[in-house]
Amino acid sequence: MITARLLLGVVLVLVACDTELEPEPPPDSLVATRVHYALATDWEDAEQVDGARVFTTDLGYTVGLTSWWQSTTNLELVACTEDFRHYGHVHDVSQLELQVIEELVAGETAVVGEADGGDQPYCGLYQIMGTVPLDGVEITSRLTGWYRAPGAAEAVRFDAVDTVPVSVLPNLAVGVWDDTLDVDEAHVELVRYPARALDGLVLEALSDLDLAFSASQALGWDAEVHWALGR
Amino acid sequence: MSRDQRISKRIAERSHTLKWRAWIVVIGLAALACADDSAADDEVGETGDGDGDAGDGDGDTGDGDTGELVGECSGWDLLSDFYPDVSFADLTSCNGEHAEAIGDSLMNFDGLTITGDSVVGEDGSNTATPCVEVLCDDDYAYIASNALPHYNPQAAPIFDTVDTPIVHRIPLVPAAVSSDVSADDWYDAPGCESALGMAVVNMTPTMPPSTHCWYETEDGTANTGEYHVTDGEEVVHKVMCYGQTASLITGIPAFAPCEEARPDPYGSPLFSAYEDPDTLFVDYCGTHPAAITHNHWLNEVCLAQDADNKPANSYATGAVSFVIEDLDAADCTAESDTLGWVYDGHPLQGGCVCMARDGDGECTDLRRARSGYVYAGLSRWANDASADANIHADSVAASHLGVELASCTTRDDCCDANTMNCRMYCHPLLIEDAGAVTLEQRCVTPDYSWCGHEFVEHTDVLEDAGYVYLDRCNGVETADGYLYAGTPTFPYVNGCYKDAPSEMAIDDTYTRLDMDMGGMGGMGGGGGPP
Repeated sequence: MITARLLLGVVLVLVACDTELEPEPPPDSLVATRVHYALATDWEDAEQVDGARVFTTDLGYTVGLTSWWQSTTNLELVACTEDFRHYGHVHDVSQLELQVIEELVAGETAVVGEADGGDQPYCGLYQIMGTVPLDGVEITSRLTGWYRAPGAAEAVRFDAVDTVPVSVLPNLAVGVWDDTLDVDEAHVELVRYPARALDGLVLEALSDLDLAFSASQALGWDAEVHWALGR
Repeated sequence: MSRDQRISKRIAERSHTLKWRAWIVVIGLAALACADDSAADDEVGETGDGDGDAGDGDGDTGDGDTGELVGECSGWDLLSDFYPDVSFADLTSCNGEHAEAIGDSLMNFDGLTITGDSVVGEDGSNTATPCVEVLCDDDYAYIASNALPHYNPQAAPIFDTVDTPIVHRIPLVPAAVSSDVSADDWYDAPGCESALGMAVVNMTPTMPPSTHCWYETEDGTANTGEYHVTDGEEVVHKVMCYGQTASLITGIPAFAPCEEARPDPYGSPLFSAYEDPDTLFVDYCGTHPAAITHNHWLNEVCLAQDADNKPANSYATGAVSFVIEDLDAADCTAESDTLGWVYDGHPLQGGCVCMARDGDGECTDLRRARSGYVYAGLSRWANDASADANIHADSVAASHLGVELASCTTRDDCCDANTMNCRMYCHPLLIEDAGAVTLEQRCVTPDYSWCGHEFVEHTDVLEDAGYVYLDRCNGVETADGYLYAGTPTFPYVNGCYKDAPSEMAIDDTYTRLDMDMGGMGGMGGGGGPP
């Protein structure tokens, strides 16, 4: 009897181990009839000091951002079969046109809207950071704060505004299942990493326009597209 | 296999090779990432930061002076395909005033790489190296390029930016067009009525409508007439309706004023790009990718060079400078630089040109070059006698063209409630009113540019203070000889060739590639795998 119970126990443990060793595979592609879009910000290791996000760039600049207003005017999934060199691109049904301007320093995640999905698997997310009014001025981004060059004692303040649109097309990351979503419903979250966005920039060599434009562009390039699918 | 087919095949093979290489590297990187999650991030460098991407060795690997005999740019691969009478061994560095001027004008890409989601680099990354090089023989300069921009591509990344070889042939001595060639009548524009009819019902055309530009179907069964056109006094060579007309100083080709049959049928993409910059169909430097990346208009700030011929300004700086009203203002303070070379050998310059010099060579009459074309309207081709009821005046008036040429301040003035599907834009352009040419905002259609615009003869091209009016080809005889000027209004670059162009003027290699990719005359959406 004891032997039988021991054997049963061993079998149960092995079954449990097997379950852990072979987790359910993630969805192999994003195909959904309804898509919810969210914009998220991850400041990673940046510190919060007096309301500013403070971090060090790869070139050694210490940067404090007191505000970063960033627009998004278009989110659209791009089908894997889309011919990228095709003229007369027709927008996908998943296109969401919007006039969002976020304050990234707050670090919040916002669901910004939803759209239909097509019947083809999606591979990328087309984001346009176009111009949106902020205090009566059409802007793409506005970064306010300071930086201190490597070895410098004094910090340099900046209030950099970009009025030039930026567009990016990050690939989708590996997706996950989300049981809170309905079948064929997807959640697509664009995660940006602002503390990386000034990497590679020689800040004192840039005009305010170029600083803001470069930051917005890098923000888009470094972004990841996380997605979840209902089942 | 014909010459054109051979060239197209090589370009397509190169593009496919780059993409496959990219996929192989991506798969390899993914495998590495699985094996080691701590794999280093492969960040790419900034444009022009001199980090010298290893790449494939393309680009100006010499001492940084453009015009050096280096021959590593991918454009050279097609030299003998484009010009069977020429081999690389025949070419030398460029000597002589005109040849050296071409070499000296080219942009220096030394140490420059570009990056972006749409860039397909040879090593599979999103980083590539632009190149432009020039070599000469006794008669021509050959500008080889891989047609990559000198800044991170900004047009919608739904189009890839791929190293695409091209070698332009520029005559060192412009030669007049022969007077005994067959030429179409400039004032006879067959097809503009049918263009109006198609515009009224929003139908995609299969042929360009005008005799002012050159197009021939692939099977050669239909075309837009002769290669030449005449106003009765001068015979000029047409530009292609869609295709290259010049090499810019970056090696990227300038394209004629029209798009393909889609999205704006044989119209300028400037209207939509200027109305809504967020569309990014063309970037604000005037560039966008296609079968070959090309420019539809010029932006002097984007093309400005520093003392080493390197790009002087960022893309963003160039983008904010592109304001049509400013670019038409008669306020020139300095002569514009050479921005390219047209296939008949004349330079393509920015908008401020010198019309007279004193004995010391100082410019004494600096003027804004203004196009001789005005927007006269597609509706002007309405004809109540036509069998096509769509072009009767009442049908045209009832269509979206009913507001054509109305004054406006925003697009809403031209489109009622449904701006999304409206074919009209509120755009600043030249119009003629009571004999005077002015730049005004009017409701206009981008479609069928050659039919919507009309050339206005100026008895004195210097009649307006501060301006000089350009000829049909968008050129003018200046204090330094004949040149073409980039203008912010139609035709933007050269609209024809005053002198005899090289064969690049009618080479449809890249146009055909675009069609193969579903472009001109295509039936919309879809397409094959990337």
